[in-house]
Amino acid sequence: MPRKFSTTVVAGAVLSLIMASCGTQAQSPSEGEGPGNSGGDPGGGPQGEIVTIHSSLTGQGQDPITQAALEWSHKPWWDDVHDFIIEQDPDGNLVPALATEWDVSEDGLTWTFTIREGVKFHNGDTLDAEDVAWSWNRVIFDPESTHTMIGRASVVESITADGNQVMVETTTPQAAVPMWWSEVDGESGGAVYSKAYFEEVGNEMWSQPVGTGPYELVSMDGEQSATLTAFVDDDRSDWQKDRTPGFKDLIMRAAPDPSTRVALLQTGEADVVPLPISSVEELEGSGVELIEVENAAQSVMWCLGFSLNPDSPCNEVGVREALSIAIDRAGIAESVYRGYAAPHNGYMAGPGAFGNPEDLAAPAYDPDRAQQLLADAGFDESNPLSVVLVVADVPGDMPMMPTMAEAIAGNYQAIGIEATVRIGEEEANKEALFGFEYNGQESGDPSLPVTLYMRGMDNRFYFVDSQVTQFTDDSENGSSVWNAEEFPDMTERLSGVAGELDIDAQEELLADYHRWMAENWLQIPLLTANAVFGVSDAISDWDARIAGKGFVHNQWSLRPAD
Amino acid sequence: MTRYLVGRIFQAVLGLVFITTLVFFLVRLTGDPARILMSDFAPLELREELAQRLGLDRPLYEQYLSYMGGLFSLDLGRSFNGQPVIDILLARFPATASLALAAMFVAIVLGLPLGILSAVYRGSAIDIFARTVALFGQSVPAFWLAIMLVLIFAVILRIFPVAYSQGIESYVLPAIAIGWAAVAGIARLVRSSMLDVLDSDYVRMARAKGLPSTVVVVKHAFRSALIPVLTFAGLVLGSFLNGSVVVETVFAWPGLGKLTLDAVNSRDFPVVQGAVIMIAVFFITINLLVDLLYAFLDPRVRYR
Repeated sequence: MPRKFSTTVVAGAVLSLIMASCGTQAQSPSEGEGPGNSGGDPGGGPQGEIVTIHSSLTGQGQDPITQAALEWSHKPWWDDVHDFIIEQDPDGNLVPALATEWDVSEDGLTWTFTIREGVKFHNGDTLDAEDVAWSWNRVIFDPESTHTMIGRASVVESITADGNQVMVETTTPQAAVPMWWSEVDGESGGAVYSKAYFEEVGNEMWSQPVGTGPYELVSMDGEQSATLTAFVDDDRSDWQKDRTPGFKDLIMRAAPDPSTRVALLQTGEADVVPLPISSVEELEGSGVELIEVENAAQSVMWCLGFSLNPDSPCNEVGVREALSIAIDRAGIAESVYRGYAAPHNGYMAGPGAFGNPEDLAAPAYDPDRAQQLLADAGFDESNPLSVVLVVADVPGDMPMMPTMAEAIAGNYQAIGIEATVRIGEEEANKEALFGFEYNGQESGDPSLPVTLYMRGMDNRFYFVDSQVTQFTDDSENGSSVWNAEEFPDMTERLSGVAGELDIDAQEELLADYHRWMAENWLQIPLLTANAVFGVSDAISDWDARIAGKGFVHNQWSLRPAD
Repeated sequence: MTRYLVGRIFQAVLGLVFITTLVFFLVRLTGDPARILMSDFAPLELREELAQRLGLDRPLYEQYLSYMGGLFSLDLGRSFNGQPVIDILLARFPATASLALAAMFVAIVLGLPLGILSAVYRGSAIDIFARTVALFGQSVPAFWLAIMLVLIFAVILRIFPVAYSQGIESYVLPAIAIGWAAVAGIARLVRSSMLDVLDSDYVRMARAKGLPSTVVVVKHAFRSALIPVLTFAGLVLGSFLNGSVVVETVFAWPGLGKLTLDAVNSRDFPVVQGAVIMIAVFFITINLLVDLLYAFLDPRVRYR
């Protein structure tokens, strides 16, 4: 029986994250809520060696500012070596890390972060506010930076250090500033590096990084492996001591092929291994212990470009509803995903994530009503609705998407929809998506099939910025899905979310937006899938977290068996 | 011979320029790196900013001339992740080259004897066995063979490690997985060449003179039969040096094949270009060497 690590993010805890509103000062969570309370020093200090397996270990030796898409590919090892200002605890609450508190000015234009004192880098240097400001400035303003964070340059006026505080001034109120620098948002340009060390060794720093994290890097072998050892300097801060790893030595290895990972676990060459759902069944009962992280990935489907073409069948709300309720989500979760998935209620934000309305149920399976709605819209046996499901299989995102697409096509065919599946390479699909190639309706030819674009993604904690960008943008970015002009409500609602500095109010606005999306059937939520890991008997405990997504993460919290 | 040599080198350089040009323009048809490197939710102006920083906003001919200019000084540019492409390729090359040589060793050590025995004992049980092995090698996909090898020799028998380049024993399974298809090819080619040679007049003459069978087969027949095999082996080695994506993935081998695939998926144009050029250089150089060796072994070629 697999152990389940419930990772539901407690929405209320977010209230204490960026407590802010126009006219009131925000307060950060109180000290003592840190992740260290989840594990702590086992007493005898770290001991032994552990081997963890990852699908890739890219990004080693690279300057983080040149890693545009570094968010997840490098995180397996980067996050155990470096620290951020905000982290997630095992229950999903956002808690102080390198910053002990933060607040925003009354006009919403200046965020002030108080930096934790006494934190040591692995080389013995003490972290200060200057390190934080230098790291953040570099990723946003350095002309060499190709990191996603360069997009913040248009709204960030300055980032300065004063004493043990860092001030971020923006040109317009920005509710998400603390999230830019957190571990959990997915734009992890916020890791803090040592300015003095960089000035001493230059770019050598990235192949011999010095961080403040629980592990320090010993060596790297290309992108094949990395060897880390526990950072146990007596002078490190109490906060760091609370995060002392359970194992002294950590060897991380890359194994892109799932069958290889299973073999490594079976032969005792690895201790923690991410498993494909298709392998889980054969391992159940084999003595291998399984750890399940619920809702690690999610999937949705969009009817592309309908708002751009008045002749698109998707302009009928009944057709949109029919396309959603014709899907037997529970059946697919059981048959395709072997029970390691569940029907999804979310619209971009998955279960437990910020702004996901927990009271909103997944669309109920009702093929009879779907058929009736299609008949009402003029689609029947003599004039069937024709759809194409466009899908890609993307490692690291929602697993088994093409198989799910085939199952959905089967559901559609059962009620008379002519459904075909087009499996493409992810980036080619995106090019076509954003380049309007799939939007047959745009040409005004009603005989062209409706394009349903399937998308899998990790279940991010805080997706506000991304949603605002995509769905209020009237350029080619957003209008592939919905046209902002056709849905002014959407723009208004999302702009309201983005401009709300009070985090509690912001979450409620986002939940309202999700409910409005559901009422209007503007998106077809599909399933969430769990991440499954196999562990050896060397492990007794591990704080697997929702922010970790499908890869092995938070390795300092792995605890040895007695 | 000199004229032949100069002509072949000129052809090789021309081929390289053609391939480089083709790859440069083709990879740019596969997608916009700025869109891939940024999140798909990134605003248009941010993608444009990134494209400008990566030099992708310049006219295509400018990018091409700049790239070709760099090639003369062995500058393959920088990966979109900032690292020099030449460093990335050279870091991966030893793993691929050593595995290619190991696979070639497997192919020759198994393929040659099988081919010779099959030809010498034509129609016998040995011949049937050798042809079955060849058929198996050519019909079994490398990924399946790789997984089966891991299952049997690593998971069940625990003789070899599952994956990774970590000592001589770690070469065995991936070298067999890559080299097995070539075993089949070499065995079949040696067999047919040997059969031709064994039926030739000079071999019959050697036998008539009373030379021992071993001497006839090894000294007279095999040497002549080796010439077509040489060309095949050269091409096989060239393909091994490309790196095998599937086998490198299964054995978590840090080689060029996996690197190239990852670069294609992430639209890292400089790495894709560099990898293809490197592969082209391998192929062209090996072909050149084989042609020269061929000319050396067979005087008819150089006098043609």
